[in-house]
Amino acid sequence: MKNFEYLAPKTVKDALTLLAGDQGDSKVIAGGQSLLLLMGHGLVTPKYLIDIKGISSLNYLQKTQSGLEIGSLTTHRSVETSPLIRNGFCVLAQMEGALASLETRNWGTLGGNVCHADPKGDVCPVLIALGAKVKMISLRGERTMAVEDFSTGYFETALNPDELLAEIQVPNPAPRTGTAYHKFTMIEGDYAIVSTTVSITLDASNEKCKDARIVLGAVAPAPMRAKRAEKVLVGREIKDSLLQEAAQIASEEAEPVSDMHASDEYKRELVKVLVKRVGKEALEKAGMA
Amino acid sequence: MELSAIGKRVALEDAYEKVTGKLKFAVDISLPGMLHAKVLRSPYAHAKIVNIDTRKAEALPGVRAIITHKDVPKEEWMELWLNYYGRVIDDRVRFVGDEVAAVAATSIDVAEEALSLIEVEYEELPHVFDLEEAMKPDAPQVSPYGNVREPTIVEWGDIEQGFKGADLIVEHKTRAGSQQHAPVGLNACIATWEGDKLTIWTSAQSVFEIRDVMARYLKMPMSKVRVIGLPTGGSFGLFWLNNFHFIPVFLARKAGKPVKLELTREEIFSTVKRREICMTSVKLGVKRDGTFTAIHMKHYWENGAYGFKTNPYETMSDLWVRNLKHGKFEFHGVSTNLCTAGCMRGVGDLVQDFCMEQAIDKAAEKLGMGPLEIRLKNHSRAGDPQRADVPFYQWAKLARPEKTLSSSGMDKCIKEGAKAIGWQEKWKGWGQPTEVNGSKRRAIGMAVSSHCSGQRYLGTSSVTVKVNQDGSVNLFTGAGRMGQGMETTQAQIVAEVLGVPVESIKGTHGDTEVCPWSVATVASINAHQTGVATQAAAAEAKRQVCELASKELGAKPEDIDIKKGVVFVKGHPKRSIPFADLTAKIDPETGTWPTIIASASKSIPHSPVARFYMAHFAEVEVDTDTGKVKILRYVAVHDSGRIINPSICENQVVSGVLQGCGFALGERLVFDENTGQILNPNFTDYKILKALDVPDPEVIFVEEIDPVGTFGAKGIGEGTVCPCAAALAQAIYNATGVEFNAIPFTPEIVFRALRSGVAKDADESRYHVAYLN
Amino acid sequence: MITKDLSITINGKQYRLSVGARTLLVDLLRNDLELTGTKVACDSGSCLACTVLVDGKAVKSCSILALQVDGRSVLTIEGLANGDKLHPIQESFVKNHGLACGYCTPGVIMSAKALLDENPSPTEDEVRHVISDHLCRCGAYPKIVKSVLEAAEIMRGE
Ligand SMILES: Cc1cc2nc3c(=O)[nH]c(=O)nc-3n(C[C@H](O)[C@H](O)[C@H](O)COP(=O)(O)OP(=O)(O)OC[C@H]3O[C@@H](n4cnc5c(N)ncnc54)[C@H](O)[C@@H]3O)c2cc1C
Repeated sequence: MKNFEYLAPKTVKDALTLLAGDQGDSKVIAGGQSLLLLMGHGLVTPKYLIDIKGISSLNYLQKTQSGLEIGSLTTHRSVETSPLIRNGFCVLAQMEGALASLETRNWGTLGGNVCHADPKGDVCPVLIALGAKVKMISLRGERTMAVEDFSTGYFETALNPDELLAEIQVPNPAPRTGTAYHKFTMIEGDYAIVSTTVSITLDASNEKCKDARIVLGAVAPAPMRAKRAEKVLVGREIKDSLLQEAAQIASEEAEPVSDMHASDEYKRELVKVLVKRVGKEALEKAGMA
Repeated sequence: MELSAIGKRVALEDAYEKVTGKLKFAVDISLPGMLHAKVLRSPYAHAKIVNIDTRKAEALPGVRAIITHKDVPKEEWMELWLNYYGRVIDDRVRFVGDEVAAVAATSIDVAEEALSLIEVEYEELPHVFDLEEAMKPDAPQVSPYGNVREPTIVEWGDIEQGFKGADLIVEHKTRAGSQQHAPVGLNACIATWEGDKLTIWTSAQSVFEIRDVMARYLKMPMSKVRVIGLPTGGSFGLFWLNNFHFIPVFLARKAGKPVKLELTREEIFSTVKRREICMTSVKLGVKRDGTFTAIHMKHYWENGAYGFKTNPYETMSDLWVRNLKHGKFEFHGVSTNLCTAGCMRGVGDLVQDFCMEQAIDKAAEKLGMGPLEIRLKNHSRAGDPQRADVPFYQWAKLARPEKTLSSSGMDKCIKEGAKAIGWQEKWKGWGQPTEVNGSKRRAIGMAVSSHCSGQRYLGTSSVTVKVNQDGSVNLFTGAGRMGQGMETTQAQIVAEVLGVPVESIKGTHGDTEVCPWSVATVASINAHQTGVATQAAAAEAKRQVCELASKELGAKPEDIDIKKGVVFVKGHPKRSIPFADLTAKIDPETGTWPTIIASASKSIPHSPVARFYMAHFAEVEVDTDTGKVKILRYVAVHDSGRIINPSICENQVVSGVLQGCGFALGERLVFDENTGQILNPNFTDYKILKALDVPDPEVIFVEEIDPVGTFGAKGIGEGTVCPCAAALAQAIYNATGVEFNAIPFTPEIVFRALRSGVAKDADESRYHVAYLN
Repeated sequence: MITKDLSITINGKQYRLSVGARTLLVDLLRNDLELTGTKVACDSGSCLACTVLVDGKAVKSCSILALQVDGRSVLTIEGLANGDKLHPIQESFVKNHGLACGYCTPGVIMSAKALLDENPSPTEDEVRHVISDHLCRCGAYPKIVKSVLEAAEIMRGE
């Protein structure tokens, strides 16, 4: 690992001040679960490392009228085990339960995961399906943005160099909404080969689909919504055949590339299977919600 | 026989050190003044080093020694099992990762920086990665001795005649990709010179081999090379004698200081050793009643850059010989510009068994027989001829006595396993699932295998037992500590023979200056073969104790016995003395304490030969939508003779099942098409099955007591991986009707095959994954 | 090299050290303090051989900078036994053969310790989920699960 200067601001303000003076040579570290590996392999070589892990004001998880507010430094494990998550946002807990190892989740943060923007990451696809937003702060002020727009590409985000990700906001789901998540892996708890999150909202009659989100992970430079597939579902009664149709379209929308674990073709096939299966699960959940 | 220590679940002798973190592996060792080494590695698959300039690196503060091909002998060194044949550093590099130069410096950082300052001018040469390409006469030549080794052949009868006598001839071909040992521990070697004496600390399974080969290569007396063999963090064939061991040795000599080389996980994955890529074909002649008339097996093994193997026959030529009058087993070793390949757990037997088992299945299906029936009819039994080591005797120009099999519990393995898995009710016929639920198809499958229990020709191990005045016992062997529980098993043997509690025995293993010579810990050798020497040494110690007791108890030595730490006259348990009282007693005649020390050099006989057997049964569920295979149940039945320590052996079996099933379902090294570089040299991209991926295997021991081995024990460790792939492939075939004849069958490969109905991997590069054409 | 002051409790002992910014917790333990019981086995954060407890939580010491544990308390395998008296988890591993080569063992035991501190009565499935992330190439998993469950019983005083 290349040497660097370690700075551990105690407050958000101090951190932002450091970032404001950034000449492109500093890097924020939260849990370091991803960053330290990159640094260990010489892929990231910051001159200054700004450790925000100790800033406790960014570590919280609270319920408000409109939904959940999760401080960016909240660990994966806190999300997984929080009673607030288990009631109403259980898909988040379920997703977290299969994300890396407990030891990684104990130290790694939700914000770090979102900012890392690994196309194979589990957090963003689920947040997108839930319609979550992120709050970013800098000395210049704050702004919010849909998670969907935040991940802009392969390990890239909309974050400016002087900004911190401060909070993740997950709105309360609309009535009669069910969200389900599944990742296809080679071994249990591994990185996704393909992941799919489907969120379905039924109309008042509980029959027709009022709203749908299909989010695909690991098949594009960033998590992507299969918007054409979503359209297939909206306004219609969801039967197996309709899910099948949506799944087919989603697999066409996906832009996977081959890697050593799976070919692009196979990943498309997996999208087909997962959209169908996960869609069905989401539908069942919506019916019960 | 009533046994006091053998067969008991004795805790590991070194368990205390292990659970407290006190056990030292080579990576944990550091010596005063020690330097750290780093290796400069080739970026090319094949190139000549035209020029190498180390001046800038030498000028870097903190650099103490640099070696290149100019600093090491011109001669090659050879690993005794032909896992390596080459120079330590050559002026030609033969795979990406091959050693080009090495630096010893005051810190790893400095050493790394120095590497970046070494200027190397390469002249690229044409390379070859593919096994079949490499065999062609116009292929780029990897080894100075050509790419293709002289084949080894085990042959008897006349196979043509045997096939003539068959009612059915089945031909089958399989391939396998490359697996890595992937032990959790990291390889490290520390070398230091004091005058003309060399000391090496390394985690190793082959301690004396390292000493012997090192001494010969350095033209030193063996007595002046000391190898302190430390425990390995798993090994499975990796913590053997490897080329990297020589690097700190030469660096330390040049620097005049101790040098430590610790390999990174990436280096371990991509530069030391791996399982070979191979291609096997079997032609099997069968009579209508299922008896075999002839087998012709051809096995092509890819040696990588420095492997030189010509003979990985372990037991496949001997497994089906009950009726077999005609057999021919050929082995062809081939060099390529990939990382060196060599022995890994179940070497030879695993991949050859995969082909053999599938050929047998094909024959059985054609004959309308079940998989159990055909195997029960043909597997070898005690007394059947065993020929696998013929090539060794031919090479050594030694007369070879006829050899026969000592014992076989194969019959019981098959029957017990069938019972445990519920074969009768679950077997629905070839290609028939037990259950279909939407896209999920379930079925069972089974396969058998065997492996050697040591090899007599590897050498005669010796063992020393010392009885101290307080009755405690020291045991010395030259064996390797690789997590297989050898320390405990050997102590159990001594405890049994000497009649003392196992806790009173402390082992010292693998320090060449202290311990007697031992064969390397390979080929599932210790329980069966080393145990014979341990038993003999313990018996000699017992004889000495009984002699002592004879004066004390007023009986003839042969009438005295020792049990539970008490020395007594047979039939007169009251005429006794506690073991520790006896050993502490001053002899009135000599006026001193007794000194009891016993050594034995002993091996197994030429014949009969012991093999150990296993039958594995798997129940799987194939998701035909995704190609993912889920193992629902796994039953592993083993005949390893008497089980000296059931807990140790259960761990061995489970680990073998995880590695064997992992190899079958997805563990594979991926090589870059253009450079041959290993692309997944880490635990993230190399997928290893863990506790959630396979339900706990049900392990059953049938304990066919072997007439040769210590207390009837045979080997166990290596063979545990052998039948897994074949058992899973059969289960998948039964679930889906599609046969998988190339390892691994990853979800994608299964998926594609199910779509096309043919097991074919669509990957373009043949060395990328194994596939069948 | 740029160093910073670090105040840290390791196995109950207070340390004031001066460490380089890029020193990983595992390097501090193994190299500076010679606590080599904590093992390193990968360079991808994925094997868990280096697991230690920081403020009671199991974490990977290879993926934390030493400076990040300033003011915190670290427990390593060396700090688990009470003098020569093994911790019940260690005892259970010895008795039940929850180990083979022993290289992954310190990490596995530390994770087990964190689990049982948080949840004294885990189900078999909960134990399996925790230990399955540890790479044990010797396949001792079934006996590791048994060791942890039996240790839990003993610690509960059953
Ligand atoms: C073996 C292994 C397996 C894994 N498996 C999975 C998996 O299956 N699924 C999955 O989704 N992830 C997985 N991960 C990734 C990992 O869990 C997360 O990415 C990690 O938790 C990130 O959080 P962190 O706090 O450690 O981030 P860090 O490593 O500290 O930071 C990551 C990046 O985010 C930036 N950053 C962090 N916080 C902020 C902030 N508040 N504001 C601005 N920038 C910030 C950093 O500068 C850095 O670029 C795995 C990791 C490992 C090592």
